[in-house]
Order: sequence, then structure tokens, then C-alpha cells
Amino acid sequence: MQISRRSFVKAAAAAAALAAAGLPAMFPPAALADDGLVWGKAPCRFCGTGCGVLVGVKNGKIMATKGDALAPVNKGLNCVKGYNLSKILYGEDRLTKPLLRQGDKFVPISWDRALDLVAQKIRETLETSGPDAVAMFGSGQWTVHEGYVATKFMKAGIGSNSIDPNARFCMASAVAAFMNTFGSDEPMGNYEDLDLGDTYFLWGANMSECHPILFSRMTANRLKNPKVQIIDLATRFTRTSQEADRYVEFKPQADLALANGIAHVIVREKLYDKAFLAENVTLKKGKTNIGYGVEDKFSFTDKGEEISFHEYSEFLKDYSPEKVEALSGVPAATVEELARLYADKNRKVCSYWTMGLNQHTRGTWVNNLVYNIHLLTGKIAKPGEGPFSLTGQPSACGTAREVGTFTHRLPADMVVTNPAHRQKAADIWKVPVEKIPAKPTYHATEMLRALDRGDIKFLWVQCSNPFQAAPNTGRFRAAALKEGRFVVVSDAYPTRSTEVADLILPSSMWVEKEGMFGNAERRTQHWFKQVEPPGEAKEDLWQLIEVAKRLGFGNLFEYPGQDLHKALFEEYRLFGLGTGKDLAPYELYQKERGVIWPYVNGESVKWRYNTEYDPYARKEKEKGISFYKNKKQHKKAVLWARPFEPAAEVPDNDYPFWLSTGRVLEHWHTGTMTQRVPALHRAVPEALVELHPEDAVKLGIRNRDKVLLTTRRGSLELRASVGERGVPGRGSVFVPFFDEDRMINDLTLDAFCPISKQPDYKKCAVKVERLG
Amino acid sequence: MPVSGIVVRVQQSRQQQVKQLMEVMEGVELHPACTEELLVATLESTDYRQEHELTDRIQALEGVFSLSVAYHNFEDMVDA
Repeated sequence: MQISRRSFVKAAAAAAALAAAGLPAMFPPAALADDGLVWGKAPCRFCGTGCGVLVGVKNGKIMATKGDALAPVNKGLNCVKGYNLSKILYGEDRLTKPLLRQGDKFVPISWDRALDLVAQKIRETLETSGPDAVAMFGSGQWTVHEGYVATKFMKAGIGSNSIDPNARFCMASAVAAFMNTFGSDEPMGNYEDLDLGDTYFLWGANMSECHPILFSRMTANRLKNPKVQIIDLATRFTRTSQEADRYVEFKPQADLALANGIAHVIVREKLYDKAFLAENVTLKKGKTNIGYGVEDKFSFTDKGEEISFHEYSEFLKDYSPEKVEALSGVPAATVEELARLYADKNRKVCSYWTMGLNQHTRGTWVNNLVYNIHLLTGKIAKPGEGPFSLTGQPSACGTAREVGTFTHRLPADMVVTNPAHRQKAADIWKVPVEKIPAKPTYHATEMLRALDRGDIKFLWVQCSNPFQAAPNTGRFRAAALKEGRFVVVSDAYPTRSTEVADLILPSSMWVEKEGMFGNAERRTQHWFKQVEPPGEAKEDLWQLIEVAKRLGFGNLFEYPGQDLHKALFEEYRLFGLGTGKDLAPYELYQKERGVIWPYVNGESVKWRYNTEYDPYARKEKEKGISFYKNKKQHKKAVLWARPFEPAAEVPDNDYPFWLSTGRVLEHWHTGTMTQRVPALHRAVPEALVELHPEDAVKLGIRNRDKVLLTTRRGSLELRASVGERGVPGRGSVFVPFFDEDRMINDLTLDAFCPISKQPDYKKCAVKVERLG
Repeated sequence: MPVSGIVVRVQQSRQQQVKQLMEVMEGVELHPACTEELLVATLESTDYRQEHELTDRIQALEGVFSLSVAYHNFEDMVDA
């Protein structure tokens, strides 16, 4: 680099940082305009926040990245993961050719041979075992286009509902609760609530490390407004707890009791909004003692029964602050204080949560219980007030949820069990309605169990790593290698899933293809292809369409004379128009830094259900809130009476600790991308087991001692981390799941929420022993 | 030699202390414009390893809440 060029780059770096910090510029913008790079926009590839990034390309390679100053989500800043965005494309071991298993080895083959083989294996499975035995394990990291093609491929092409995404592992409980409370998936508010509220409850969400840009917005708000309070409700002390105004620790599973305790005080002291409840809320109770799904072919359907407000208040008597203290460890006085904060009419209150509430054997219930507090107080669907479920994957909302890549779903919240929904899908897809099966088959965990049983013979995994990420994964890894199964894995890198595949297909990633992601605030973002993928890597969408052609239903993806990506999106858009799920025309996404849905009359609806912002709500009433999507409940939201029930596996004499799993800042999910960034690998080369210092003393364990963890599923040796970055509560240990050499999911339990079918990665019983 | 522009969010009561510690770090150029909570700097490193060590050291300083990256140029690190 020449000195002058280096000075120029430094000036550009300083200018971007100053602008993002809202400080005056050093140079006029024109002086830095021509830097010799071609810049294109894209959302970040990592978490579900959906930060805008500008990608600088020269000679076909990414040379620079910067936070997109025009992106409303992040306003020019990326979290520290932004340093590694481009590096994930250039790992040394990118997959560049299709690879076929031959014994214990993989040999390169041509694309033609690979695609012919996939088609042949699907055809054989259809003939011998029927369409349900052909399965697709998808992803909240699929682009909207890829997810749409995969859904259409399976439901309209193969005629099978055996498709489910890894998003089942991260936010299915949020979906189930949005649906049974409001009749429509996804939050009613948006990220502006982070700037506009003054009281923030975080339920089991380590936002400082996992959603740092959003957390920064919240703390920036606190700096401007001394009234702002951040309350961290959690089972593990983290950097978020350190920065919060208050940390409230509760025992694992006791969030159910705590949320009911808060509601108890609000009802007992008549702090609720009577008029809001009368106008907008109906009350119900569901089934109890609902099981944990640990057995194969577990089946459960909830049944709601209407109850009166009096019956609800009687139900809450079991959750007096004193009783909640006994269950949760949270002092009774604290429960009272939290309730008063939630109900204070002079406070604008938001709740945020992620995996703590969702990865839970009563995940749907605990989501319901947080909604209850907002429904009781009427603090919902208004600027700075409302419940907000955050997401962990870049398109868990946009692809998995909105496109509906679940076994039971169709696009725009529709379901295969509803004949009218199937008919609408069949009309748009131009297939006979009989082609789309009416019965869901396998949710993600059951899909892997079915592979083990032999009910699934052909499994195609795209953009996901289930053979590291699934709970109790040892069983499923063995299943994949059984005789009579054929497993295809499309990915950019070798993973623990490609290791058990029969055929590996090399995929292009992020800006190596055109795509769209949808983030947690209902913002759909588009990017153009900006660089070529390496070798023969191809986008997942192309792979699916090429196999469809070989199976004789390539016509489902033919749009003569049209741009494929645009045509696919415009067809998909038909599902939501006029339903409150309205997406914008494709061209708008190409220009804008994302567009929030519903997009009606040329405008995004920032707060759904609120007549001030939402034209659909204005159709229902002149002023106020209308939960218009909940037609079956007379357009009211449902307040659910849900009790505390214990976890599936509680510590006992043999396995005396709780085991919880999750992420660390440096590594994203199973580490297949971030472990290939040398700096990140060096920073956190291995998963450690975090212990509470008092437990460590009792067990004679010091920092970096070798520790053996044992559950009823297996054992794992790890080194200890005591009193460092995260501190779990007494009696609990925490292990991140990124490390493919130390797979904690060999130890976790495949228990799940019977309603959402989302596994609980946060609670099982474990024995902890010091080694050597 | 990667170059980046960063924004560091700090605890107000420790802003001066963080500034002083960052100023003496090799490869860090602290910009005079700042707020009580936000510091702006450019980082220059010889390679990615040094760059990562630098961002790690900044993040580990007492009083630093977060480090955000606004611009990252690594054009002479790319085998174009």
C-alpha cells in the first residue's frame, strides 16, 4: 500500500466512525467519495438483528466492509463480528466440488453425476417408502428465495410435508405463542422501541454479547434519559447483567413462576388496565401435565377452554410472591417491585427474550406468560411499549417463519391442515390441491429420530449443521450412517454434518449469490450477488431446481423471460397480499435498506394492531388496538393461564447439577464459519465449562482444570472457567455448543415443548467431576 | 495491513481513563472528537492477528462496554 493510499484509507475509516458516532466530519464527503472500490449493500450474515453492511469489491474480491450509515437498524455500526464478515468466505477448506462417499473417504464427482444421484435416490425412496420418507432439513440461514424454492419443491413437487428448519431449535416457541395469543406470527413493534421506551425487562437474553447493536441502542437511550432502567432476569450472570441496572437471578425453569408472580401482584393490587382487557383480551386455560416429548412419535395437541377473569385470579393465587420465592429463589419483595415497574402507568415497558424462554420444555407457556403481563397492563403495540422476541439467525423470521419452511406450515402463517390454505397454495403454485398433503409429518427433532427408525430414507440438509446442533446428537449421527439411509448435505465448509453424509454439495454463501433475509423487526432486506463463489460451488436454490428438473417437476420453477429471483419473490408475495402480511414489490427492496411488513398503501406499518399506524386496525375501529388477525377469538388476544411445571430432567443425587448450553461472543452457533477465522479460533479455541466459584471450591476445581461432565446420554471432558466471562447460578454449569471437537449436544436431552416442539437446550441434569 | 475505524462505548466515569490507556496503544489513533460515552479511533495493524489482539485489548479495558466497527479495509491482505 502506498503512503498516500494508506492515508486515504485511514481518513475514510475515521470519517465512517465519526459519522456513526454522530460526531462532526473531518473531511467533506466528496473528498473520500472515490476509493476505487465498488460498494454494494447487504444485511450481515450472522445473527437475527439484520445490521446493514456495505461490501467493497475490487478485482472480484472483497477488500473492505463498513457499517451502512443509511441502515436504520445499525446506523453505520457493526458489532465486533463485523471484522470477520468477509473472512468467512475465504476459509482455506471451502468446499468447491461435489463429494461422494466411498467407504470412509469422499471422492470428487461432477455436478451432473451428483444431481443425477440425488434424483435417483429420491425416486427410489418415493417408490419404496412414499413421499413422507423424503425429507429436507432446512435453515433460518436460507435466503427467502431458497426457503421458498425448498418449500415448493417439497410440498408441491415431492408431495411431502417432511420439511423442517433448524429454526425449530431456536424460535418455534415464540411462533407457537404468537399464533395462540395473537393469531399472527412475529412482533408487533420494531427496534425503535429500544429508543423510545424507558423500562426494559430482559428474560434470559444476553443481549450485550448476542445482540450487541440492539443493546447499544438501549444503553444510548439510557444515557439520554435517566429514567431508563434495564432489568436482567436470568440464570447466568453475563456482560449484560454487568451493564444492567438490576440483575435478578432465578432458578432454571422458574421463569414460569416468576412471570405468574408478577401477574399475581398486578391482579391482586388491581394495577391492570381494565378497559384494555375488556376491549381486547379473552382468557383461556389449556391442558396441563403435558409431557416432554422424550419418547419417539410423541404427540400432543393443546385445547383451550375459556375462563373468567375471576377464575384467572384464583389460578394466580398459587403464585403469591412468597410461593414464587420458594420456587424461583427471587425474593418476594423483588417480585412485588418488578410487578409495580411493569404496571407503572408512567413507564413505557418492553420485554425482550431469546433462547432462555424459547429453548424450554414449556417454551410456549412462558412466552404466553410474558404476553400476559403486557396484556394485563395494556402496554403493547405502542411506540416504546411491547413484548419483543429476538432471533438468533439472519432469516429465522424472513425465511423459516414467513415463507413457512416447517412441516405444518405454508407461506404467510398458513397451515397445511386448513383446506382453504392448501387450496390457496395450490392455486398459486398451479398444482392440484391433492398434491399438498394435509397432515404434517416430522418436526426437526422427530425428523432425525425418523431417520434413525428408518421411516425417513432420504434426507437433504441445506445451510445447517444438525449433526452437531441437535440435542442428544449421538443417536442421530449413528442414524445417518445406518444402512438404507441416504444423506445429502449442502454446505460451504466441511462440518460434523458433512462428515456423516453420503453426498456433499458445495454451496455459495452470502454475497456470492443474490438473496434476501428477514430480521426480527419484520424488515426484509435484499442484496445482489457481488462476488463469484469459489470453484464449482453453487447456490442452494440452483441445486434444488436442477434436481426438480430431473424429477420431472422443473416446470414449478420456470418463469420464461423473467429474472428468476424476482419472479420467485413476486410469486411468494401473492400469499401475503391483503392478509396483513403484505410484502413490497421486489424493486423496492433492491433500493431500500430493508422494508418492514406489512407494507400497505406505500408505507410500512411500524406498530401492528395500533390504529394510529396500521390501516388494517383502522378497518376494525376508529382508535385504539385491534388484534384483527385473531379472527377465531373475535379479534382479541388470548391471555393464557399457564402453571409452573418442572423441567423434564431435574438434578438429583446421581446428576446433581443443571447443564445449560449457548453461545459465546466470538463464535456463532456451531462455529463452522467463525472457527475458520484464525483470530477468533485463537481467541476462543475450545469450549470451556463455566462453574459458579462456590461450586468450584466445593469440587476442588480451579480455572482450566480438566473436568468430566456426565449426563444420562454421555460424557465429555472440558476445561473449567471459574468466575470469568459468564457465571452460572449456584448448582448450574454452562457450556457453549460451537466446538466440534467437544460436542456438548452428545450430552443434552431431546426433550421439547409439546406445543412448539422446540427442544430445551438449557436444562438437563449433569454430574461434574474434577479430573487429574 | 488492515485499517479500521471503530467506535468504543465506555462507562462515563471511566472515559478519561480509557482514553489514556488507548492513547498509548501502538496502532491506535484516538480521534479528538468524542462524547462522554463514545470514543472514536482508527486502528492500524500489520496483520489480522495483531488487529484482533488490539481489539481484544481495547475490549478488555475496564470501563469499556463494547467496540463497534464502522469501517474495515484489508485490501493489501487480499490475494487479488
